[in-house]
Amino acid sequence: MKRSSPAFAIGVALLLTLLAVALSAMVYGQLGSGAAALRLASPHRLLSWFLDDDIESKIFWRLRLPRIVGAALVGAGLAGAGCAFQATLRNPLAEPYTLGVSSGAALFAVLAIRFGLDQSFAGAAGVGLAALVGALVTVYVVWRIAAIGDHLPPSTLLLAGITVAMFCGALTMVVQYTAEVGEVYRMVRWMMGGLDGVLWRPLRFAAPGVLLGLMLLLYLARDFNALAAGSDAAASLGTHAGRTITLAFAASALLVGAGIAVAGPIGFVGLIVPHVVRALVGADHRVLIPVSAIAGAGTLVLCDLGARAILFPAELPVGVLTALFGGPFFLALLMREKRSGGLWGG
Amino acid sequence: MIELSQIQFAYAGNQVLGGIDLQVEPGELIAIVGPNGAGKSTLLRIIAGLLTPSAGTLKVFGKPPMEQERNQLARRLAYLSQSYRMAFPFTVLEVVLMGRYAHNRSGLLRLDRAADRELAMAALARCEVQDLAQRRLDELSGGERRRVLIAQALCQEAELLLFDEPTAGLDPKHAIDLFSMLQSECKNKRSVLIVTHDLNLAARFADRLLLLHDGKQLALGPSAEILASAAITEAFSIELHRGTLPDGVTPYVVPST
Repeated sequence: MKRSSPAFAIGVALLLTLLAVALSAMVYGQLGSGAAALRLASPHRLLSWFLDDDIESKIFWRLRLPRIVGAALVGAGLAGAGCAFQATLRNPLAEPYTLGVSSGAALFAVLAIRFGLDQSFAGAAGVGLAALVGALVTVYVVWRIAAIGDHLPPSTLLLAGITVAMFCGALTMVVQYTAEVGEVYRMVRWMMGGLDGVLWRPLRFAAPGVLLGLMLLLYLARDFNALAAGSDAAASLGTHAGRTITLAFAASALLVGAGIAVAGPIGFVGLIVPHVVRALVGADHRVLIPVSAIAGAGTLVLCDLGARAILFPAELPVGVLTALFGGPFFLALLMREKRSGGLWGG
Repeated sequence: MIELSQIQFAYAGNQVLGGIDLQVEPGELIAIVGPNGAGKSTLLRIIAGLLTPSAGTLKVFGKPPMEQERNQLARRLAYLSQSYRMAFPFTVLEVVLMGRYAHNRSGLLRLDRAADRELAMAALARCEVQDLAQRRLDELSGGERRRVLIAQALCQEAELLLFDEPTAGLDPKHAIDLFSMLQSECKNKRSVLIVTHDLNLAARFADRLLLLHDGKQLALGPSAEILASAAITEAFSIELHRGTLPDGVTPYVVPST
């Protein structure tokens, strides 16, 4: 396949993402006389939301814009972390949640709900914070189990991740079993992942984490290339595999943790976006990571728009939508690659 | 350049290598030969700093390789392993450019420079695979892939080349081309250590042979001498017919059993 130049690829991804953001900003709901409808604001109206101080403009600034920015941040972080996990595990089917990160986060989140943290002064942010701690603790535990000196064998890492994920899943069920019906509902709802109710406040904490994580991944991008043929080959090229994987792990934990704290676990974005982008721009992580992050931002903004629109005026959790469309889409991609013999990593 | 003294290596309590002594001077081409499981690859990985010997002293450029910063070492030492599986669809040029990584460390993304690209294309041309530059590595034949990886090692411009069975999968012409290219690299004060099963090519091009058997050093010396010795039949447990090429100097062996 002919590959486009890095600048062109980054430019196209940026343009498409900006279009998705603009589209999402312009779509608004209007509840008429009993009938619900979605409308597209004119650019003039969009501008008036930016400049004026009426009720529509307040809704735009305080509710819609943070939601779009939140979707973009979470999407960029998940896609970036997806690239990093695939590179360090040397497996194109790895994703941000492969190593049990979401299971650990879910366990801490259900515990927070079980002990009424979401009903206390902390509110929903308390659950987000608990999930963030859960994600970081899980990554640390998996890393400690898998590390042999300063080596981190990918297969051991994968096994440790899957085992920890199963264990956390079992504990989550125990917590759910002992919970009240209302609590169980809130737990299940959290695990579906969603961007409704995202305000500026949590984003102020999540944004620096996502930006720092992405910067670190960009710096590691070349080391990921060297790692693609294994740690011995990487060492021969001057890259310390264990150090690279540990740093990538820390950056990914930051990205995924921040994303989970804002929106709960959202699947498939971290798996599919890097996969599609790799088919378009090639395997060089110095191009793949920035383009994936931008494309991930655009994808989640679009998915969230879909989640708002499909059942309007009701809303579908965006995590349900990404899983509903992501699954079949990924299968189609796999089948196509299988037919064309281009399935790598096997 | 390399000094090994009484090197031992044990893996999970099993002695894999014992009592290896070797000194390599700049400009030498040394072939490591021996039957399967003799410890050849392990020895090469120890010298490359990928495994730590359990006893003995090892110095590469005056210091134990494990104590050297990987990036510093990679500027002077290139190692090519026996098996190589690329996880992602990199192009041939991208793979060869990885050989320049240790030399180029500027900027956040540490992008490839135009000079690196020229060096990579020159290395591809030396291995006669320049036409494949834009192809994906995983689409090539085994022999082509091997030549691309040799180009990557050349692109690294290291003074010590450690190659583990680089001729596996190469046709006779390209195997001979590779050995003669390595021989000419040695004239530029580079040293080459090569693990091979091709005794005849080793004897024709290498300055010295190191014969291993069961993790022990069976013989070390000039190629013709080793090929003529009883140690070689002992190591491989086969009868060999020995001869000399029409030039009257180059020895060869063929199995006679």
